[in-house]
Amino acid sequence: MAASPVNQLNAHISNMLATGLLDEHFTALRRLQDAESPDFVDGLVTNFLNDGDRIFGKLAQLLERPFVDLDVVSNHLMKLKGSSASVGARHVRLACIQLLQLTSQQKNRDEWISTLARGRAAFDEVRREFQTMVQLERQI
Amino acid sequence: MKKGWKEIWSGHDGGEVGLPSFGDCERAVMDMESFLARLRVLAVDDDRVCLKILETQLRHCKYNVTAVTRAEAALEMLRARKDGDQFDLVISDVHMPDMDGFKLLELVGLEMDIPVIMLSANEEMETMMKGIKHGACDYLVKPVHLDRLKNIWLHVVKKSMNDPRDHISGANDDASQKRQSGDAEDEKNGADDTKKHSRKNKKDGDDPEEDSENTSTQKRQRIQWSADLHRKFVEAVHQIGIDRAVPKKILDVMGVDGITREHVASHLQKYRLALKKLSLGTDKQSNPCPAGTESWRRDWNYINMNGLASSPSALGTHRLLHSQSVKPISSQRSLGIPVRDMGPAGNGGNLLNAVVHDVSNVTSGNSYGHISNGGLPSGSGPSGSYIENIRNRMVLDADRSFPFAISGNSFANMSNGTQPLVPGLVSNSLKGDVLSMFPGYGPSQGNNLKINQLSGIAASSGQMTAIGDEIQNRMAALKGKSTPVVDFSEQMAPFNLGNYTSVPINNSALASAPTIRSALPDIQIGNLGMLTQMLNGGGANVNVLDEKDGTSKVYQHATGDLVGTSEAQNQMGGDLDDFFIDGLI
Repeated sequence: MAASPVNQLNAHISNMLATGLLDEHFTALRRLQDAESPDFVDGLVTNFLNDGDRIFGKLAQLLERPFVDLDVVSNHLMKLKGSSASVGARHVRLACIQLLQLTSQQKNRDEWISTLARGRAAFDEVRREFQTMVQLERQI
Repeated sequence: MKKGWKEIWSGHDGGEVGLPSFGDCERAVMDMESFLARLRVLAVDDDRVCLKILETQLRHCKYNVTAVTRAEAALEMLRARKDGDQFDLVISDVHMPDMDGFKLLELVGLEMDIPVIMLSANEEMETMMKGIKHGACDYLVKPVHLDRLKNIWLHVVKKSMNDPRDHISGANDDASQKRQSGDAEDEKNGADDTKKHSRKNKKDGDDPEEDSENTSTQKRQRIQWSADLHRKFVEAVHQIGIDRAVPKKILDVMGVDGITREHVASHLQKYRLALKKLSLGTDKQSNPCPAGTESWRRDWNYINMNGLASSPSALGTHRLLHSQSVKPISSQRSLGIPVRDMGPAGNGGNLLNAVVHDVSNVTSGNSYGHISNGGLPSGSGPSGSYIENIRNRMVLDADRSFPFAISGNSFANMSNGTQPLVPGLVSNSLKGDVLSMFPGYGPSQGNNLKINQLSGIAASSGQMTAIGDEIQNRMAALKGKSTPVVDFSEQMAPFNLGNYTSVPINNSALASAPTIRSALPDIQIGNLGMLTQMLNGGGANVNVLDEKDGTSKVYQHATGDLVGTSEAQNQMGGDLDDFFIDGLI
């Protein structure tokens, strides 16, 4: 007696909310979805994941250089902070905030890289969960 | 034809104009949805996720939304729209690749004069303040809740109400009386900015058909100050003479159809404010404030005690991460700057801040009168107080997170040990550009102005010997290049110094980021940050705590003052110059 796809989906999302992976802004987005745009959330999530992936890639590249332009880094982080916050991806948002704090402190490259790695891990986590969510959604 | 939202709001049915009656209000409430549906909102955000969310939220609130990812495209759309068709409100992100949000904000304010709401994940206080100072009617921090968007229509109404002639105007003869007396005032107060001149160009979104029905309202067409129109304006002003230029005369000289004396008056006021801003900077140059010296010295001593080596000052466009894997830097990193130099330099920096502060103040004067004009002190007096320093620095730090362009001013700051030149750098050079717009002043003259500045800077850099020599050499090399007064082609160029070419130091001293790097390979980036810090009063320990999430900006780590400071200067200077330059494109 498997749970219905809708229940599965809701349970999955509840779990993401409960673990702090997502926050109320994601819930608000779901409420915005209506019959006219049934793929609203999915589309957003997919774009967010693609863009986030790209940004993390760029950040890693930037931090590899001998001269790191922290303003460029800062900008990417701010963009990611904005999209993750708007989508409700809480852990990613917090990771961005942490990284942004680094730009105002005198940190060496190692510390940057390790903090970035943690941010990347948070992103990967939400990506996995989002992908599961999208799959569940498609089963409905 | 569809009624504009203003008809619904003021309940006009071709009857007498006066304060809205109760019936009118009722009607307005019931017409809320149709009212909102008529509000045209332009949403601008380069992030597609945020833009999509914003667009959906606005639609959910029943607004008529157009969403674009590029600021350039937004500007094109705004410029293409006619009076009756124009957007009512713009919501824009702050950090965008093709154009700075603040710049878009300024341009919209100048050309279209419609309310702009800033939107960003950046919740740093100085960035937010900067938004307001540049004229934003609000600044929303992402993530934006739906509730925050529901009532943005208030900004539209509020803006239109600021113009007394809008919907609570008197009869025809009242208005024409005002016009006549206004002209009389013009004649008397040629060079003053009086309230009587402050009537804004308020757009009248009415359709032509409506005009015939509403005989009792003054129909005011919003005028778009295109580059061409502005150029004519400037030429006319110059022809008449800036001190004798009154709207009526300017209008006559311009000889353009379709604009009224009121249009010219309001534009003239903005123009004068901008010029005033520049001359204020010049005044500062000749009025050093000794009172400020002490506090700067204090700050510098503090920094010294903290130890330069460990000071987290290596921030700026060329901020560098300490690491073994990083390219080795020469030993100049720990160059100590004698305290005695800091007074004037610090003052210079401080005054510069004050200048810039004024710049930003004035620019936003029209659209957000209360806060920008009265809120923060203009800092035009001797800004010796510690708080002044901080406030000023906060203004400039706002741009810390803005990327890509290196500002020449930071470079100049670095090499300049004396105070008067620093404000002079900004103001005189800007003024040079302004003046050079006038037929009498050719580009060559403008260049001469700037080159003189540069040699002055180079000459005065004696204090900071090691770095100073290096810079002097570079400056001399760069000086040889002919620099256009205004680089039109780069007026709206994305992300290189071209954006701020009208601040000559940029052009002549530092072409672009890569150039800086190649031109000054030996210069300590750490020192750049430090020096700029010092000039700015060295990031005294001011902690501005942005609440939650602990995104606190600690000013002693002062962050990319290098870029932030000069960037802000350039921003404001650049924006000002857009004002002037637009006329020449």
